[in-house]
Amino acid sequence: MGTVRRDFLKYAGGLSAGIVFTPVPWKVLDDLSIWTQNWSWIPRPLRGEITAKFTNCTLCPAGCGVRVKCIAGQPYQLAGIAEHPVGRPALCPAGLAAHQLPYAAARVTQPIVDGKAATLDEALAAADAKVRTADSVLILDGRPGRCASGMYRRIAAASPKWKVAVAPGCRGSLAGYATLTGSSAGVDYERVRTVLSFGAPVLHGWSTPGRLLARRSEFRLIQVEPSQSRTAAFADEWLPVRPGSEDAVALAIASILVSERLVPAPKAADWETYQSLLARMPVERAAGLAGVTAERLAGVAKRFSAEPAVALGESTAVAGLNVLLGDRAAIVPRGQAEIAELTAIPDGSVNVLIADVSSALPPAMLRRKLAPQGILISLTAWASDLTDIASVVIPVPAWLEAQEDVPGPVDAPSASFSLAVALIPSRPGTMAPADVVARLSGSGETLDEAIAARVAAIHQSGRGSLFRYSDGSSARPAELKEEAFAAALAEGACWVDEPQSSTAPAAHLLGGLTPEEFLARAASVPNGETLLEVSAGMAPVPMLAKLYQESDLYARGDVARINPATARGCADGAAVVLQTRCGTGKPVVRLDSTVAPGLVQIDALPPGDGKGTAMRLCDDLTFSKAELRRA
Amino acid sequence: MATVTKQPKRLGMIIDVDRCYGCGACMVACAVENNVPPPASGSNERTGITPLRVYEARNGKPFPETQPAFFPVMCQQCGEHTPCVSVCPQLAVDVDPHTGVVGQVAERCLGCRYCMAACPYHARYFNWWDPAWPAGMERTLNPEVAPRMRGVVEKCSFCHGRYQAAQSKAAANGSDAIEYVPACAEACPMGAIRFGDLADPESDVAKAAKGPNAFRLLEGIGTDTAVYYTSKRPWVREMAGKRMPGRSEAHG
Repeated sequence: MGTVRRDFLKYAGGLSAGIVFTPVPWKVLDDLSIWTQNWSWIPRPLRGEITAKFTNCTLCPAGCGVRVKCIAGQPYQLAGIAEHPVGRPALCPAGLAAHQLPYAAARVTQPIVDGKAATLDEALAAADAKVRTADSVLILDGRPGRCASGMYRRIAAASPKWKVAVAPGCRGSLAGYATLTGSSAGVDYERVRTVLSFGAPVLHGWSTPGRLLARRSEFRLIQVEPSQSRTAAFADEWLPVRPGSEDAVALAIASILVSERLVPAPKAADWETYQSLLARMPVERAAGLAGVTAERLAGVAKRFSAEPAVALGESTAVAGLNVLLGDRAAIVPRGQAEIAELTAIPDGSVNVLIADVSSALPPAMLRRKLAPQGILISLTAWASDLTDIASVVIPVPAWLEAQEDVPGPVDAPSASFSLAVALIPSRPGTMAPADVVARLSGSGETLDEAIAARVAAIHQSGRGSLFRYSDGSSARPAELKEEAFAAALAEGACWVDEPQSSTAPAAHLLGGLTPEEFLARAASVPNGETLLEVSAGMAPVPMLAKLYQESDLYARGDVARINPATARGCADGAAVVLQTRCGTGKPVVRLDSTVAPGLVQIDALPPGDGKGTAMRLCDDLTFSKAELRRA
Repeated sequence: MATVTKQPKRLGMIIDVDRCYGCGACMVACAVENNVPPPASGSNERTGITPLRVYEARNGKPFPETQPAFFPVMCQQCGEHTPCVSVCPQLAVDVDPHTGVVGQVAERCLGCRYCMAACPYHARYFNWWDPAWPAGMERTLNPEVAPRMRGVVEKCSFCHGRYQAAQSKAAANGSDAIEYVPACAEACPMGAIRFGDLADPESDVAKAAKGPNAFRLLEGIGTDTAVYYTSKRPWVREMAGKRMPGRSEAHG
């Protein structure tokens, strides 16, 4: 019997049915699925030798030590240095992902002149032309204490045309103490038992986090702040005061300290004037302004004065509490303070403002200082509102791209010096800000020379000790040759000075203000008004987007947090119009019971593409009056 | 640093809710360690990838009596009737009998997302997009962890890459002890996240897990999770038995 066509069909049908019961089709499907999921454009990690290097962070004044794991020389993982003499082991969220900063979407990648892309030479030539014809040039130093800051001061000292000011908010929460005493200062965290903080982000952003958090169980934290920030939420005691009443509260506490003789008479030239000033701000009046009871203020004053304590807050009224405590203040004076803040520069007096600033600032604050034809030159790695209004933008290297020095942490009790090490190449078309300013001023000094001179001076002084992260060893400068000392610093080591004398310096408790001015500032508490509060911006690290809900990042733009009690009928997620005297914004509302009633909080720099507009709505870094209405 | 022996064990965590102030360092460290890309444009809370998310819960009182509690929530590494394992048609999810860690094999995953539906902790995420980083940033990827492809589910594995590296190192040194700690526990500035072997009665985590204030999320459903929490605040402990917080309450 021969094979017929029907047999072939039966064989094919049987084969088709049978193959379903074998692994073959499923394996093909599985492989196909994997193949379609693994396209060539999906990034692959680098391959190569894994090494550990050390450097120091410059993203904030904390200056934490960082252990960097590298693959083929490229940093891919950061961790704090457990044995660091200043920072202790903790890194903040921005520091943990800071190796991504050079690739951030907000990176300025090209020089800009009058809104158009230019080469570095063209931008330098344009800036030089503006500076050459200017009568007054102001350098705004966003990170005082660096070798670059020293270069700026020397340039200003050599020519009356040049001036230097430090950017607002960069001197930390003891800035007021520097105003009263002329001395910068650190907090003696080894000794402090009570921290009285006036809005300072003690637990969520201020200071060297590891150093502070490692001692958290050793001190009592009292937070005076209108809203329930993370620090307020986890403080031992939170005083929810009305926005703008912090100075009145500080004066009330001072009044209780003096009237109940809880502190000795301080070394202050204007002590009698200050006493008469306190009499004009009775505790009951201050309590009324702040919306808290006089008894509660008295309790805080007693706890504050009982043990070594420190008051943190930028205003001089708060700093006065540290002066009143005298030797009981857990403060270590660290020598002459930095020069004037931007606020001390007369409005309309600057022809060219060179901003060496990487943090967010309100454009209106800088515009106010410029003469009618004045211009702004921005030296920055990140796009911001300032780069939008600058005539010339010169990109600078990001962290890890160039060597620079790290000034001592603002709160550290002793001076320190370390270097941020260049671990990856700089982008073409970037230049260190100090070198740009030196070139424009014709000073002839370079940043590398300034750093080398500082290193040599430290070695020559023989003071302090050098701490090496790689092996945890310490050595006195005299034990090393200068080349070895410099080489260790270039590999990320940290030099820490010996503790300074803790004798309280003489002070002027009114900080140069008249009693009327001082009192007017303390008593000017807005009542019943909507106030805008812009929270400080963080570095635009891409991975910080993980801290936000994705819908906040992409669907909304600015998010305004307001208390449900003063939401004026706005539902969560509703679009609103926010108007200040500086401009109008259109955020969406997030109802948040931690925000003080009447306050509107917006982040200065939301992560992601960093297109926040909050800074354009305010004219300084304090509360701004605002009007909120439904869109 | 956690020390883990090669004996049968159960890796676990204990998280002190009273010490966590929601800074998000753990979330960032997790994303960096595990090559999680930044959120894709158009993603939302369920389509973005956050293997560890810090949820904020509140005591429900108005300002200023309102009180927060922050819960870092990752895969809870269920030990009993592990819901995701039982529903996976591809055997892409399994429990390592040596560590108790619930593993996810990306190459086996079909992307059906049954496991996501089954997970009572919302701790699994689906890759809706190809993983993408800003130009140049792919150079910063962790070489010990492969980026996952579009179309598969991923989750916390207690930093499996670190475990493997530590295991190899221990073997090379002829040692029985495997020393490693997940990125979140290493990064926490408050020391709120502790990690170790729950099966070792002498370990720090095992002792803390037996403490009077220790609790687990949704303990009533009997998943025998390996992530414990602790809080002295009764309302926080009570909240742990409820469903996860809503979107508006959750952020890092």
